[in-house]
Amino acid sequence: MIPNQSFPTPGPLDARGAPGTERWTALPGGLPSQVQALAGDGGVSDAELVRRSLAGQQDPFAALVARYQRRAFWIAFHVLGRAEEARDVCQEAFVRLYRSLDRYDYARSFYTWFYRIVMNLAIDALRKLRSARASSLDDLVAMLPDEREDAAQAPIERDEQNALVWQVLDKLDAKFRAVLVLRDIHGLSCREIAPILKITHATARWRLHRGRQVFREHWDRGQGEA
Amino acid sequence: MQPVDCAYVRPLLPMLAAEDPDGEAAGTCAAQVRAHLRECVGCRAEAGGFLRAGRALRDAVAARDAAVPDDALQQDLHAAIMARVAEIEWQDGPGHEAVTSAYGPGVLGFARWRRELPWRHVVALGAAAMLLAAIGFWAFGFWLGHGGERDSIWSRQPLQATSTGPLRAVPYAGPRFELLPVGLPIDDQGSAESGVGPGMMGRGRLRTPIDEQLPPPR
Ligand SMILES: [Zn+2]
Repeated sequence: MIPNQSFPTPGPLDARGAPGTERWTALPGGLPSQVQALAGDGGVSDAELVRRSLAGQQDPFAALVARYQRRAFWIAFHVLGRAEEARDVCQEAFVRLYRSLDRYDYARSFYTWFYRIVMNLAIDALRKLRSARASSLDDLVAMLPDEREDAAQAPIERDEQNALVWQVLDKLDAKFRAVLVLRDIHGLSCREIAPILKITHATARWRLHRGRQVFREHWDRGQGEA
Repeated sequence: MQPVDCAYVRPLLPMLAAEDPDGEAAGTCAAQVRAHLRECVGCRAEAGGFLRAGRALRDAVAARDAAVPDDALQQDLHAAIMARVAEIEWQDGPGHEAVTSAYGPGVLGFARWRRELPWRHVVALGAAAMLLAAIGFWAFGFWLGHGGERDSIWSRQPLQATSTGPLRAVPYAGPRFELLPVGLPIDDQGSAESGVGPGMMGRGRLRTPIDEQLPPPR
C-alpha cells in the first residue's frame, strides 16, 4: 500500500507550512487505492473533483473528502474543543457539501467555500454547546468553593497552563474564537479568513486584534489567580 | 504624521506581537514600531505579554491535539462520511437537497426540479404564470360577459328548462365550461348563443340530458 501522502495541491493554508500543520493535510489511511490515487494526484484540482462528482461518480467525491477531512475536523475541534462534536460537524459539513455541489462557483476557491460550511456548523455547535452547558452547569459551578484558593503558590504546571488556555478559549466569544483558531492555530491570513466567515477584511483584522486582547486579558487574569 | 510613541504603539501590539506570516502588519510602519520597542521597556513588556499568550495558546492546542487518536479517527470518519453520502446518493443524487417527505416521490420530484432551477428562473416563471393567468381570466370574463349590463350573464333571465344539474357546454373554441341555469337563449339545435364576444367565441353547443326538454325556439 502507498504510504499516506501529503496533500499535493496546497491551498494557501498548506503552502505556508506552519510548524506542525502537515498532519492536518495528510490523507487518511485505509483509502481504496483509486481514491488514494485521485486524492493524491496534484494534477487533479478540487474544481475538477467537484465536476466529476456532479457527473455522478463517487470516487472523486471520496477524494475531496480525503483531501479536506483532516483539516475540517481539526478546525472544528479547535473551535469546539471536543473530538466527538468536531467529528459530527465534519461529517455534517461533507453532507452539506455533497448536497450543494451544484451550487459551487468554479470561479472561487473550493477551500474557502468548504471551510465556510465547516465554520458555520462549528460556530453553531459551539453556541449550542455553550447554552446547554450554561443551563446545566453554571449554577452548580458557582456554588462550589474555589479550589485554587487552597493551592500552593508554586508555579503552575504545564498541564495547568494548558488547561487554563482551554478555559480561556471556552470563555471567548465565538466570533473571536473563530478568528483566533483560523489565524493563530491554523495560520490563515485575514484575507483568507474574511470570505470564510463572510466578513470584510477590516472586520477580520479587528476581530483578531480584539480576540487576542481578550484572550490575553483572561489568560493574564487566570495566571494571576493561580 | 503621528509620532511613534507609546500611545501610537500600544494599540498595534496585538497585531504586531505575533507571528505575521503574510506581512499584514507591514503597513503599520513596523520598522519604527520596532525601533520604539527597542527603547521602551513598558511597550516591550506589553508586547512580550502578547507573545507569551500566543505561545501558550499554540502549546495548549498542540498538547490537546496529541491526545486525539487522529489516524484511527480519520479512517473511521472517512468511512462514516462516505456511508452517509451513499445514503443521499440513493435518495437523491449529488447536488440535491434530499427531501424526506411524507408526501412521497411527487413532492420529492418537484423539490428536485425546483432545486435545479436558479432562483431567477423561478421568479421569471412565476411572473409568466401570473401574467398568463391574468390574461386567461380576462379572456374568460370577456367571453362570458362581454356586452355590458344587458348581456351580462348575471342579468339574464333563468333558463326555461328544468335541469337536474349544470349544463355542459362544448364551445367551438376555448375551454369547455359549465352553464348554470341562468338563461341563455338556446335554439332548437341545442346551440346556445351567449351573445358575447366576436367570432365563434360566444357559441357553444349544449350536450345535456335536457336536450329533449328544450324550450321552443324564439
Ligand atoms: Zn512605549
